[in-house]
Amino acid sequence: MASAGSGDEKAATVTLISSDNEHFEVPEAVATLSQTIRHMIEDGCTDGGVPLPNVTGRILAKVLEYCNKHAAASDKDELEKFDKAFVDIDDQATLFDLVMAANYLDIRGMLDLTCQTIADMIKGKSVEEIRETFNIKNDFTPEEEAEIRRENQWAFDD
Amino acid sequence: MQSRHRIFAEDLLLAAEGEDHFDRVPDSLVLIIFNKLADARSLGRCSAVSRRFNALVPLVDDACLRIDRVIPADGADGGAGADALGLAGAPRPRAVLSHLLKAMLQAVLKPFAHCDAKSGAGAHGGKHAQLQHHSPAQVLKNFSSIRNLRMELPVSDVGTDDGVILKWKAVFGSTLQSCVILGGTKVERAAGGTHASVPAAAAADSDATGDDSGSIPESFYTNGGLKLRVVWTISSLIAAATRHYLLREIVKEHPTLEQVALTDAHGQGTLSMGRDQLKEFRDKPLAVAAAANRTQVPACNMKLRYAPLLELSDGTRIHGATLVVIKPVGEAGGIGGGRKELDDFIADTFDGPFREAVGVLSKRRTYLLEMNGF
Repeated sequence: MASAGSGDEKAATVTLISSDNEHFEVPEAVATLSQTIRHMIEDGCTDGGVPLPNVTGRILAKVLEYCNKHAAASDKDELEKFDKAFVDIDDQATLFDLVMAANYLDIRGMLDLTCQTIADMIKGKSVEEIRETFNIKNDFTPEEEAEIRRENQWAFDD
Repeated sequence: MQSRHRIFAEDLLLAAEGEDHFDRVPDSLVLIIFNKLADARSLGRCSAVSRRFNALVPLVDDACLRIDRVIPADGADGGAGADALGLAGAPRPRAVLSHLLKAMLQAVLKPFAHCDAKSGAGAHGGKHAQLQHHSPAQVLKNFSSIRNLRMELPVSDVGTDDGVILKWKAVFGSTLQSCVILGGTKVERAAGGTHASVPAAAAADSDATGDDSGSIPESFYTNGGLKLRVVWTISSLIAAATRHYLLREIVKEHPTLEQVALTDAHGQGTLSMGRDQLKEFRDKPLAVAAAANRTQVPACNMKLRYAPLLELSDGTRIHGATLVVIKPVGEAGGIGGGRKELDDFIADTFDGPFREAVGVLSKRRTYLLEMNGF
């Protein structure tokens, strides 16, 4: 039975429901790191839980890991260490999932962190390396590509 | 799929089964990523990765351009110039000034005649044979909607002796609007890791602020004195004016710019222009200094504050600490008017211990100086 959530006297909680129907009961103080959820709480439409059709349970768990830490800790160094470990992920799919989730849930800190991580993966790489890392298809014709390289030659001297 | 190229730590993050995750990321998020990337060269490469990236790169708001090398106009070794600015042992301020101006012109201005945004392949020790010079304006051509630009020069403009600290921040519209300079003849950092027990910054000296004679304390002269401060001031203003002049093509070609900051790798000086300043830059013509690659510096009022020894709360000690605030003569917001804004600007100029130094110095007695334009 899904818990209603907000009857607790000590700390109000809210239930988040992932796309694959996993339920997470979360203190409001933590959940409101997400502006999206914060607005829903303020608008009073969280009874019975908040469905999040764009976020799987696996990703939501990771998101809540981030929110829990950032809602609790205030020491800058500690948070920095946590953030670094948080994005030290083995697979790209998860990283991009987190970017999308941070965007959907409007969690500014997490969005900055994950986007910065991807930016750092791009920085310093050659064009071929960028394509290879992210599996991006080269959809230029050879003439187009030559033209672009010529226009931006300063970027390619290596 | 293993990379045949250099191994990166991120190779762990090679996409599984050939999936391009960017496909499911909307343009707005890709732009956020590009804005965080900011580095102009990386963005230039991104624009050759795919059509989509190519279309998005010009929409970037923020760009940061690190300039690799500066080429002296006459091909002479650019490094020598920086050392040319020592202290002239010369006695009279007037002689020092003209000598100083010449030394500054050589040391500072020539190096900036050509700003090389990217050094050519295999360049060693300044050989020019096959180098391609790319001006910053050329590099930034693709970034047609850029709003925030940050450029970083490789070295500071003003050569200083060891231990001397000199930091400046200048705001220019079409001409100088204000400049804050913080200098010290010697800086001693606290011994590693220890936090001094001094609770708040104190200016320890025998000339208490109760000195009513109105004259500059004796120690000001023994510490290198007024002459040195003049050298700092003029050097910093010339550096700022030179950078300002450098920007004219870029500002003209990027009407969407709202914020420009031109710093150097050593963090010595920052030239900053905000939205109002950029508007003025575009509307009013620049006054170019005679025979020099820089903007004319107008006649100025300077407020100088001095402390023979500053002890900051983190244990840093600054000897001969000087704060100079410069504003053009006759401007409506000149010294004495628009007080609050100016005070805020001054307080915000630097970070860290220098911020504190500015705060302490601001409370000291003020000495007023005037300077002609140059």
